[in-house]
Parts: sequence; structure tokens; C-alpha cells
Amino acid sequence: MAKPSDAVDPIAGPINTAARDERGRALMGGRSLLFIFWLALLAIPLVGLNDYLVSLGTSFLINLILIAGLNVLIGYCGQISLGHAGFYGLGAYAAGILSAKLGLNPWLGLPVACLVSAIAALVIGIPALRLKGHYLAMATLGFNAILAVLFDQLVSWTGGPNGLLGVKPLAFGSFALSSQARIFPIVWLCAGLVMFALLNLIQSRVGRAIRAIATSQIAADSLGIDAFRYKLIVFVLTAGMAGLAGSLYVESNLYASPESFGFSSSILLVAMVALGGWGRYGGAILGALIYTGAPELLRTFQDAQLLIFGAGMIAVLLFFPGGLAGAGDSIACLWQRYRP
Amino acid sequence: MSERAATLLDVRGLACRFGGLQAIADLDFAVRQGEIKAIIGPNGAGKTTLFNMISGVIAPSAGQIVLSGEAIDRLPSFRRARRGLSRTFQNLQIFKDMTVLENVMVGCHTRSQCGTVQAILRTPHSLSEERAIRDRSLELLAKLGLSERADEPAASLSFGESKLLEIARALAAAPSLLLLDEPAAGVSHNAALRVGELIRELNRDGLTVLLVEHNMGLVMDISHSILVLDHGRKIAEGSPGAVRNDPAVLAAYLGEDDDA
Repeated sequence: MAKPSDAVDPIAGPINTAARDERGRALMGGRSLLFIFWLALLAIPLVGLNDYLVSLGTSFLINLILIAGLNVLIGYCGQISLGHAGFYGLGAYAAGILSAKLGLNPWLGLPVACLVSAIAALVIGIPALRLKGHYLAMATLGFNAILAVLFDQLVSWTGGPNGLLGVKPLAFGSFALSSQARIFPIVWLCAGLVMFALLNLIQSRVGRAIRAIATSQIAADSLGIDAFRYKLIVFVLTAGMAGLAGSLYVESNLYASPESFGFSSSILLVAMVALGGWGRYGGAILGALIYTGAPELLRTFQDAQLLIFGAGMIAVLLFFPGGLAGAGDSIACLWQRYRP
Repeated sequence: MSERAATLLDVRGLACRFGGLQAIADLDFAVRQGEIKAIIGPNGAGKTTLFNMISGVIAPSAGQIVLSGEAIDRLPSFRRARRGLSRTFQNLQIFKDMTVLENVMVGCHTRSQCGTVQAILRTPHSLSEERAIRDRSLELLAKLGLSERADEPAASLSFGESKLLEIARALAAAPSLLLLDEPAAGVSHNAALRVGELIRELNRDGLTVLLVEHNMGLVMDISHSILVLDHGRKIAEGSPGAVRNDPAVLAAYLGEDDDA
């Protein structure tokens, strides 16, 4: 058997360098597009007329971290987590308790939240991902249910149903990031790092392996891909990102309460992945926009809110099975068919 | 290929039982380094079951499988692949939502190392490795005549092209033993001839091939040795000439006698 260094050995025939460069540019295109989009987002606190609009921007970015991570787990790796809001809450409470109850530097909350959620995912993932089938969905479902009870009942730590109060804001020396406009750049930076990390991941050897596992595990196995290992890596990584999102949530609101991190939020997050378009990088951005914007836009409808939201979701998925990010393809396909 | 070439794959006393069905019974055979060996037999003889046991898709009930002197029968499928075993599938297992090129790039997995952290940071090493994977995959596509289709979705390929893509993907791992599960089934006569020529060419370059195939013309044409299975048992083994005239083989195929 040849050594791994043989990977670069030429086999036969000339290489079409022009085609290769073109493909290289296409990949770079995605990256610069994301970069421009991200710079544009930084304008939100500048043009935001009030704290409310800036806080919508902050929520959008936090939701984006959650949904983009979940999209990689579900859409690219084929594993369903029904406990993503649980990891989100775990991060929020970990960071919140650290500053409110233990009096530690709030900056510590960000890495600690990532770590706590990632470790929880590791503990769940090791047994659940060894089994074939949808055991991860069941395990995470149970995990979220347990967490919801803990957030509610551990009153001395979490504040129980009244919520966690007394969270200290992030600060540079005496300059506290206590307003939405001040915390925005931090959230913007974290979300940007997550989005670039995920883009780099899916466009790599690891990303291909992940997609291969989702499409045909038997073929992935036959090509030497350790499916368990990659599923676990993606699950732990995206849970860690959800933990980060939680810490950013608690630091921007200086508050956390159990109802934000329940099972229904987890289901809604999965729905947003589908609505945006799973397995499509841009789908997460659309999903996060809807997740953030729809409740605000539908607020005037009061009780009919959920009904309208649900009907809209069914309509989108009926007409665009690839989600909103796939709508372009669906329309192009229809146009091809019914073109005059 | 010399008669005294080293044994690459050694199968000893292999058995597989599905409930009351003995799919493979007490099977011994060997594949020598550098040969093309074919496994033939009537439908239900246990050929694909045997392939699945060698590649690790199903576990044998008894027996041993030795690759390059190392017992592999306890290893999971992906570890066997890392030890130089590559395969194709009778019922295609193409990554349909990837491009043709990406499919072959997945095949390079065992020949590359960059992990999650390097991928996320886009380290210079990961980028140069990515280029090497791409170049190698494009070369393989050129070799199999699929260059033009490189950037198309794999789902757009015809059945015959998909079979070639699976071979390209398996070759990307630079295997020491290639298992081909019916590479010429369901393709046109000309395509089957091309597949035969391709296998011979790969073999000339030093690749050892074990194939299951129903196209007798192809099997007789390219194989150095043939193993004949019937009802999970070996009924004959030897050169194409010897197997063709073996009474047990004729009986199994023509159904003149019951071998039980």
C-alpha cells in the first residue's frame, strides 16, 4: 500500500489549468460576497435610529449563528438535533451565572459558554451517534426537556421562572457595553467568525466527507471516511456555536429566562433551517431573517400570529421544497418548463 | 503476473448465515498480487454477500479475511478502506448532490490529512492539499473519459457514466485491491468493452482487481483466474479455460443437476 504522500502523484494526462483557475475563482467569489455582506451589516448601528432597530440586528446575528450551525448539522451532515435551543440556553445560563452569581469577568462567559455546550454535545453525541438512524434527534429531544426543567427549577442559580437577573455587561475597562449599539460590534464579529468558519468548513475535505456521509454512508465508509467521528465533530462544533450564541444573547439582554430555550424553540429553529433551504449556505441567512423579522411584522395580528406564520411556512415548503434559498432554482425550473 | 506472486487477499473458512439461509459456506480462496480475479455464479450464489463481507458492510458468521498479511475481518469498513481496499457498488452509491468532480475528490479522502481546524482556518497546507486533490481528481476523470462532465451534478450522469464515476472515485484512494461489483451490468455492449479495456489497463499499471460480473464474454476475456460460486459454495476455481469446461459449472448454470 502506497504512502499518503502519494496523494500528489500524477496519474495520467495533462491538466486543464484554465478550468481549474475558473473553479478556484468561483470559490473565492463566495468568500468575497460574504465579506461584503458582512461589512454592510456593520452599518446597522450607524443607521439604526433607535435601540429597538439595533437590537433587531443583534438578534438577527445571534439567530444566524444558531441557524447556520444547525443548517450544517442537518443540511450538510444529515443529523437532526431537536435540542439546539437547549445548547443555546446552556450557553446563556453558563455565561450569565458566571457573571451574575460567581462575579467573574463577563468576557470569560463567551469561551466558557462554548465549552459547556460543546461538552454537553460530546456527552450526548458519543452514545447517540454510534447508532445508525435518528437516535441523535431522540437524545437531543430528551436533553432539551431535561434542561428546560433545570432552567426552571434551579431557582438559586437560574432565577427560575422569573429569569436570571444581575448579569454584568461586557466592558473594556470602565467602558461598559451596556447598550445595544455598543454590544452590536462584538456580536457582529462573533457571527462573522462563525459564518466564515462554516463556509471554510463546508468547502474543504472535511466538508465533502460530511456531505458524503449524509448522502450515502455505505459509500463514505468504503472510501475510508470515519462517519462517527465526523458526525461527532460537526455536532460538537455546532453545539459550541449555539453556546456562543447563548452567551451573546445573555450579554446583549443582560437577562435570560427559561421560555426562550424550550423544546418549541428547538423545533422552530429546525423549521427555519428548512424554510431558508437546508444544505444551502445562504439558506441560514434567510432563515435567520424570517426567525427574527416575522414575529415583529406579525405582531399586529396578535393571536393569529402563529396561524399566519404556519400557513406561510407550509406555502413556502410546498412551492419551494429547497426552501427560500432554492426558490431561484425552482422558479428557473418552472420558467424552463412553461416558457412561451 | 507470475504464478508465484504473493497473496494479497486470503479468505479462509468464510461463512455467512442469514437466519436459516446459508449465504456463504466455508469458503476458501485467495487473490494474488497483480491478478484480475472474477467471481461468477448464478443469481443468489452469494457473490454480492461475499463482496459485502470483504469490504466490511456485513459481518461474517465465521472465518477470516486477510489483506496483505493482516486480518481485517474485525475492522469497520472505513478502516479496511484505509488499508487499501476500494470498491464500487452494484446498485450505484453516487453522491448525487455533488458534482462529478467532487465525487472523485471524496475518493481522495484517505490520501489526504487536513482536519477540521485546518479546514476552518484555511491554512496554506490545507489549500495546497486541496489543489492536489483537485488535480488528482481531474486526472482520474480524464482517464475515465469524464472530463467534460466534471462540473455537472453527478445526478445528471447516465447509468454507464455513473458506473465509470464510481470506478474513478474508488481509484482516487489509490487502492491495493479494487473490488468491482458488476462494472458492466446494464451498460451497452460497447461500454462493456470499454470497461474491460479499462480494467486491463489498470491491471497493467499494477492494480489487483477482484470483480463480480455476469457478462461472461468480459469475464473470460480479462480474468486471470475465476472463482465459481453456487448456493454459497465454491464449485470451481481456476483459469478461464479450465472453468469453462468444468462439469460442475456447466451443471450449475444449465441446471442439469442439483448440487445439494
